[in-house]
Amino acid sequence: MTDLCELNIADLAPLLQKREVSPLELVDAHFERIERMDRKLNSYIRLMPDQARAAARTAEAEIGRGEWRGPLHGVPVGIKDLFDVAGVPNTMGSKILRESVAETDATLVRRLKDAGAIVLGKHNLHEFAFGITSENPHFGAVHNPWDLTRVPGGSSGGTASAIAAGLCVVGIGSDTGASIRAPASWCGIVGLKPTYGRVSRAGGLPLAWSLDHPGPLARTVADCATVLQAIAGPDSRDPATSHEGVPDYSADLDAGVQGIRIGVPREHFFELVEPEVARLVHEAISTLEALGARVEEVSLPHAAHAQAAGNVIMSVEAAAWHERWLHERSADYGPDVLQRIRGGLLVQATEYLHAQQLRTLLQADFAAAFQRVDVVLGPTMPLVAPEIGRTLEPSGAFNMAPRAIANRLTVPCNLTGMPAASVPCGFSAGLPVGLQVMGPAFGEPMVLRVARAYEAATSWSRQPAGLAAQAA
Amino acid sequence: MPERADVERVRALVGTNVTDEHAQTLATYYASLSQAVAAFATDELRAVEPPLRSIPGPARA
Repeated sequence: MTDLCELNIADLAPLLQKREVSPLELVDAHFERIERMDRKLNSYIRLMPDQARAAARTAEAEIGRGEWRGPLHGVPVGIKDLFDVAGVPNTMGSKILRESVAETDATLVRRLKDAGAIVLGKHNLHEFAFGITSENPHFGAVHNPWDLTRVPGGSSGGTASAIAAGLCVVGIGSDTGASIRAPASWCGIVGLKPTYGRVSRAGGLPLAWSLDHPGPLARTVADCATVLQAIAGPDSRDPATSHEGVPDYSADLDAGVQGIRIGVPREHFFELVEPEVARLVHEAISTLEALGARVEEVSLPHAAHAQAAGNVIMSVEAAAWHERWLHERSADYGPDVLQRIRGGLLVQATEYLHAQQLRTLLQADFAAAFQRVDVVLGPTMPLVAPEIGRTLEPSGAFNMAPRAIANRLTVPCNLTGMPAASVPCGFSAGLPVGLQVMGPAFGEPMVLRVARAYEAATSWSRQPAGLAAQAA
Repeated sequence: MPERADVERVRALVGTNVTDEHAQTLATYYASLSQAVAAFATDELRAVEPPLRSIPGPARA
């Protein structure tokens, strides 16, 4: 039989429902694999074996009584260590919050548990979620399972690394400038940043209030849809959540792309992109065209300023939240994160507001594009995963520091609040490359449908990560 | 290289316990952010509001 840890929700759900696999057996298989592989990856900050096994026994009893809750019942999940899980610390990857124990679950954790999911533990991340590499000074760097010398991306790097290596089935990340899509791209899995307000932020610690988006990471598009279904919807604990109806995210997944209109940006999205990454993304767009989609160019003239606006807003909002610690605990921050948060103290109010105004201009660009197309496609990341410890050094085809350019293609959708997914679209020098699918607000069904059509037509998502392949 | 005035401004805003080297790094970081914002098209900015709104309330009981 295939290793249990390589199965996705769509494979596992019928096995669990029919009691051909038990939740306890599944949880034990994952902890055995974590024990064997996570010394190399460092993807977990905290494991919760006692709680997970207790939850697995409960799930087993419920399923045995015919009380199957749905496709997540008995499925092992991991949670970025930025969301509260009752009874264990929520560190946000920081020294400052190392002992900060959560009393209640974050809303999305509660919803996952209500759906029957079993939390295995909490994932490592970039300190305070403010970075693209997950090189964490307090808990150690997370490693990329495709090449252990490389970063997995960030800030949800532990989550992506663990999912790619089969150390949990699915996970929850957060995305303020790239932090779901970047690690999904660099680890060769699927990540979805939903529409702002689609998923509650309650119980998640903020990086930047107006840009933070919680969302799912998984090995397949269908699994992302299943997790989104469980966590989406209004929440009285988060005033930013929307009352827009929650559709069935799996209903149209396999409807294909015949007649779907795809926009390819004229500006920005293919500039400063490594040639092989650009080639693979253009090839992916051609694949969708061959499947029946209609492709046309769209103009997004303000996208070129998105990274600057995003960085200003992120630094300022982070500085406001961190202000007291910046004065009292500055020695407890890693140097890169301290610099970026302190930088927010220097920004003038007018500059912050100009960055906010840029959001309005970018919204108008995308609104015009979505008059003509259903989705906009481009690369998720301009480059493949860089080496650990060298992310500040100029390198690559454009001789630029990976950290300086990494979020330039993803942050536009944080500014507009639109949904965007990353789906694997090939390999450059043996490292995964992601295709970014962007849609209009609350357009997750179309984003997932296009991503699924591409996934179904190709084999990238069915390739186990290098380390996982060695372990199999 | 940031000027002395930039370093002193950083200290005034961030705290006096900041080393010269860190203050210079911060001044450089801020200068890059500020220059990037200055490159936004002023005429276009004047034509739009930021997506910030007052939330009326509380509603009458």
